[in-house]
Amino acid sequence: MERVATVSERQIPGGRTVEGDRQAVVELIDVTKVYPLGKTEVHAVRGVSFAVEKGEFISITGPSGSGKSTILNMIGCIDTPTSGVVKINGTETSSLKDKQLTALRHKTLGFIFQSFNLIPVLDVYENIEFPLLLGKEKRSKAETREWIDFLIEAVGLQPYRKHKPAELSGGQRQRVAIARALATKPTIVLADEPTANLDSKTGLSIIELMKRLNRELQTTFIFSTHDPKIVEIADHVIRLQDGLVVEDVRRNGAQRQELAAGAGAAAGETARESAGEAPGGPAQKAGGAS
Amino acid sequence: MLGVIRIAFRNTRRQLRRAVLLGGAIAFGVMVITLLNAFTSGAVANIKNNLAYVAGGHVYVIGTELTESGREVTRIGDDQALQAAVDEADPRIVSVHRRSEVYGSLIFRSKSVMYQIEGVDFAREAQFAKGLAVRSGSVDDLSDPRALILPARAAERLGIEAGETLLVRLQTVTGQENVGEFRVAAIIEDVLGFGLTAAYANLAYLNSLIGLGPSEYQMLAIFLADLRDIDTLAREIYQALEEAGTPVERPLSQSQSYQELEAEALGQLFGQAAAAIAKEPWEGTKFSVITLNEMMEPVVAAMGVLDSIALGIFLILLLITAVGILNTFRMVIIERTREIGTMRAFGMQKRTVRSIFLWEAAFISLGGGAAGLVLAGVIAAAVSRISFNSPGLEFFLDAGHVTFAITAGDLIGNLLVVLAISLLAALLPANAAARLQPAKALGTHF
Repeated sequence: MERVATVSERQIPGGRTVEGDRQAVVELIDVTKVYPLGKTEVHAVRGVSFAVEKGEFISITGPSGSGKSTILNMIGCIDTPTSGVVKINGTETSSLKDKQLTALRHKTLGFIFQSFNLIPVLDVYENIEFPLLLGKEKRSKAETREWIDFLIEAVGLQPYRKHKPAELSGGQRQRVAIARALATKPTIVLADEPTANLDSKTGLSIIELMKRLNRELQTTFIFSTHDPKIVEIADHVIRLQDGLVVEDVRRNGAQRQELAAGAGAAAGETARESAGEAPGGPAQKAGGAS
Repeated sequence: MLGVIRIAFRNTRRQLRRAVLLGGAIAFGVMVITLLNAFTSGAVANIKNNLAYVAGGHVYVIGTELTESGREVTRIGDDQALQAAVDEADPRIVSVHRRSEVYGSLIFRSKSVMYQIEGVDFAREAQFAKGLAVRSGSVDDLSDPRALILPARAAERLGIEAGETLLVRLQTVTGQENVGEFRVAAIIEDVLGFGLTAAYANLAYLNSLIGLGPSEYQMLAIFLADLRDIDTLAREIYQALEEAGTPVERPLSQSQSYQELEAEALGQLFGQAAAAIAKEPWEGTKFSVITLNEMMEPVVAAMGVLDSIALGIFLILLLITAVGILNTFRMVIIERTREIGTMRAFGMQKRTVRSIFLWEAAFISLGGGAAGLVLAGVIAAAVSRISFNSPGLEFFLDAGHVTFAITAGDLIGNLLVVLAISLLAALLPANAAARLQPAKALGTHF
């Protein structure tokens, strides 16, 4: 695992202090991103700073065009900031070459996409296994199988392990995507609008599943969403407006419990229902190709 | 690596129709080149065998002597040195034949036909006559000195039957006209077209007609078990003759190119030979060692031209296929942009993305190539069953059948060319795929 920075009592630019010996797995320090658009420039992110602690369940929210996806791209090391510093597990990403960034993504990050982005030629088991095939780590076949079976079970897809993505509903596809994101045991899982292509019931069940895995595996989940119900379940909410952080709130356990009580009860029910939903069922809002 | 290959293989099956069309084009190209290569190789082998049959062997030692008047005659009078040079017990040697030959006019009633007559020592070469396909008459008793074995085509043209007698007008080795009488002991099936099949007579009787002694002959022809030994044996015979102090001309392959030989032959044709002989006279018999390979040089060159034409067609087909692969893969990359972005996001290195597309190209080309080989094999098997009776083709055939022969090296070579061109064609789009920025490839969703 990468060196983990301890942000002990350190002042993060942007005005927040990380308490005690909590570890910052992600740090953004005065990050900007400017896209050229013809002869003009689009300032997608205008100096954003925040830190994400290990094991957090963090929601980045805000209206369209507020910079959510751009920030996730930079945390995900698939885009670079125009200025400022992005640190993943204490490693400054701007100093890394493409090969190193790719390796960092493989070891440290998992991705969940709005349109699932499963590999259509691979079945459920193979899609989840796929990230494991990219690294140099050596595992026995039995070890790999055991881990993937665990993930399949964790996302409730045991009966579908030999199904191709086209044979699954939207909710089931997103469950596969969640399991795939966790396959390499990453420190951080990034989810860009993971519920946007799902109906609200399935969306809640997906978020509840992510929350459960966040608790059980101590994996940091960073997701972007518009949905206020889903935002309420997060431990840490970063609200963006026009490329700037307008709110950065950590909730304590009591607050979270209170906020999550309503949404969580609903999600618990839907999780049980959605795990077994029929292929091509009502779950998928948009027919995004995976 | 296995995961990458698995994805590439499944991607190939994903757009099956597209893959089949590309593979089909490759299969067609491979089939054409394989069939043409196999045909030319088979034809060369057949020509070699047929020529060896007609010429009586694979390595030939011809004797030339000078008369008192300085005239050059083809004759091996004293063959002691030659017998010492050719070890008939050598396991590489199947048989050794002593032959005299003459080109004469066969006359029967009012008809005549020009034919080559080979003098064979039937008593010494008992197996030779038994190997002939007799149409009528018999080769069991050839003790009659005037016995003649006549090919069917000559017999038909003369209207002669077995048992009847014909005359032969010929020239002796010194150029005098002579006439001999022969009795047709047997009529045999034509082995070859082009009038290359000879009539066979008793060596001693033919020698008496052409002015040679009964134990003399003009050429020693050696049949070998393995054609790869031809040049080695020819060199050994030459060296043995040279070491024995016998006048001997270097084997063609050691002394002259085919062009030089051709120039010399033209020179001889236009009367320069006498001058050459006058310059360098010799005592006794001067030997020339010639091989079937040397005789085959122009044929092999002609077949090489055919092979080159086939290669040209093959390359044009491959070029068309390469353009197809290039365009298809460019389209595929547009279709799979988000998928590429996903794979990159999960930590797939650029080179691995590239290799997926190259593996796909490899599967299509090798699949198409293998299909082409199978098709070529089926067609070759079918065509080789057909019996051709066209006299013009006989020399290229094996007992009336087309022979297809191709080495594993040629097959692998063709497949490697297909593979290399396909990979080159796919490299450009594969590089473009590898260079895709993950964020851009994923579009607005990351």
